[in-house]
Amino acid sequence: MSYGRSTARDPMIERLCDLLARVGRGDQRAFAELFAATRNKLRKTARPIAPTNADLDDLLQDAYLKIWKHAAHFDPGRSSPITWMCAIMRHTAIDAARLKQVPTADFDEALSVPDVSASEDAFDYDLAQPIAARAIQRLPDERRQLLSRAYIEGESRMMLAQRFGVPVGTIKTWLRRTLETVRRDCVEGATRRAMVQSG
Amino acid sequence: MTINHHPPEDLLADFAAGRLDEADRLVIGVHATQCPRCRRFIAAIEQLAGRAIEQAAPVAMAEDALATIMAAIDEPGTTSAPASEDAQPVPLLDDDLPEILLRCRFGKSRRVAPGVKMQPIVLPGADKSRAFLLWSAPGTRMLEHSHTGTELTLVLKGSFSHEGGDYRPGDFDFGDGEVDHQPIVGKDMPCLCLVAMSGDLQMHGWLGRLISPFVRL
Amino acid sequence: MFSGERPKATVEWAELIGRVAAHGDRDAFRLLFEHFAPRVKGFLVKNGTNPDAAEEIAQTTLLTVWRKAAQFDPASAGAAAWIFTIARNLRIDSARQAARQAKVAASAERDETPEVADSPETMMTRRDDVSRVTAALQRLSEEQSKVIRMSFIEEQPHSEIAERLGLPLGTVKSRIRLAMARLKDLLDD
Repeated sequence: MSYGRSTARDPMIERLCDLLARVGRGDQRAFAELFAATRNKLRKTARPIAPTNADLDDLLQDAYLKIWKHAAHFDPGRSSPITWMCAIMRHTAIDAARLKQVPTADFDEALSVPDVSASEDAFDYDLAQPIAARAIQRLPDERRQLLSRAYIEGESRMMLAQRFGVPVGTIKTWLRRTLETVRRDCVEGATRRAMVQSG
Repeated sequence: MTINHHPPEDLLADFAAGRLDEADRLVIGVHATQCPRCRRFIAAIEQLAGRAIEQAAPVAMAEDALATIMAAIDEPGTTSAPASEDAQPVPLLDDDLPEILLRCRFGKSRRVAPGVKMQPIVLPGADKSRAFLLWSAPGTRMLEHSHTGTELTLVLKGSFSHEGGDYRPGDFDFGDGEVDHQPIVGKDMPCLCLVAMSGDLQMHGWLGRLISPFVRL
Repeated sequence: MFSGERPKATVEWAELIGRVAAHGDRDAFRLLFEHFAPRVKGFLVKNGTNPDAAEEIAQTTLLTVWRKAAQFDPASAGAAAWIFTIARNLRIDSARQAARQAKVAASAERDETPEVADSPETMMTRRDDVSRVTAALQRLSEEQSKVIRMSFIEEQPHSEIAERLGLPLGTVKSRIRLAMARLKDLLDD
């Protein structure tokens, strides 16, 4: 006999409805039973939205507080008790998640700012763009187009092979070599400038 | 710091184009904040993308688009959600992280194996890969393993070695199904890495098989 | 309509951004909008973004150009590249929000199954390779290994285990908890 899962649905639902009704009348013992019976389920509901354990426990508390307050308003004719409780849990978690720090567009922008403590390359600052632009400019048109189609526009190697009438392996080789050329130009460009700057 | 090991060019290109999964993006991004050479390469790909925008066939904007933008300009007040001023509620494996990482949200740290701890980074948008800090005691030898997906590693502190060479702060290591490394952590100090992993580790040997239900990296 | 010629060379776009930064020049901004917004939108659509999302991202990109105009360095050569990075980051963020919402929606679907089983078991049965753990099981005490076996392998509910062993329910639960902790320790060695 399997425990929980899909078998014992009806008696469980009835039990929860009964507990909720009693909680609605202020029955603390019923609340404790309700908590024990549903806490894991609500925890699982909140987890994908607010995964840190510290948050989870706080959120559980907030949700159960709301359940305590609103139990009297639960209408067993309109929804199942566990769905009702999970909805409360989810909304509590979502509201909290909105306020918390998660990566946003600002974070992505910060990712592009050099970590000054990491690099002592005095010639680097602000030079990246002109060197980079030149490296791309120097590419033969066809190679530049190929690079752009593959990486910027996301065209598959297969489609590129068809477009150029060559095997996929050739496309990959061309791409690899073009990337290496860009890489080399970026490194040499910097060295060249460094030499110019140091007189 | 002197960096000797860099991400492969195609990963950098995908990063510049914005095509990496979130966890991979984080690791490459942090490396780039520390590495002028890779920054320049990324800038080159961005130049390429700029040209692509210039050459793109224009698609008409909505009729009121400009007006909408002007209205938003004239009505400040609603900015993006305020960054929380809360102190980090979860203790970090190491407080001395690059500043960009201190802006991330961390899960609870846990022990993974003897002398190895990890702490997940919360990235709700991450699809195929997951990111975490990995802390290993000096001299730790990782269990023999390979990957079903990819593993991107950035050394933050300390060092490790394997057949590919020596890896120190700022160095980037790439692992996939074709690679079967057995890294050893340097004896001098613990090693702290930022890791993005997709797929699963495949542990070899009977000890690995026994442990693997419990080792969820 | 607007006055002035539409610039064609790249360096002039950079100059327009500079004017926006220095004086909040709306005419300059309008020129930037008319050139870049439809191209950003076209670029996004070509790369698989749906037209509505592309419209929104293109609008926010130009809004960001206005707001961050002072951060753009004209000498760095590349208004288009800078604008690309803005659009790229916005696209990433929009995909991120969508992924988050999808997870929320998925958790909503799970609400329909009223599963109230205790959680310790699910960690093990999810990986479901009983033979692997049997070796470690043999190193547990007899009492511990018995409850683990009955609970996980024979899948009996705690109440039934309690009845069959003639033990209080609480004892069964705490024995399982201890056994799990011990197993973890054993496997960590």
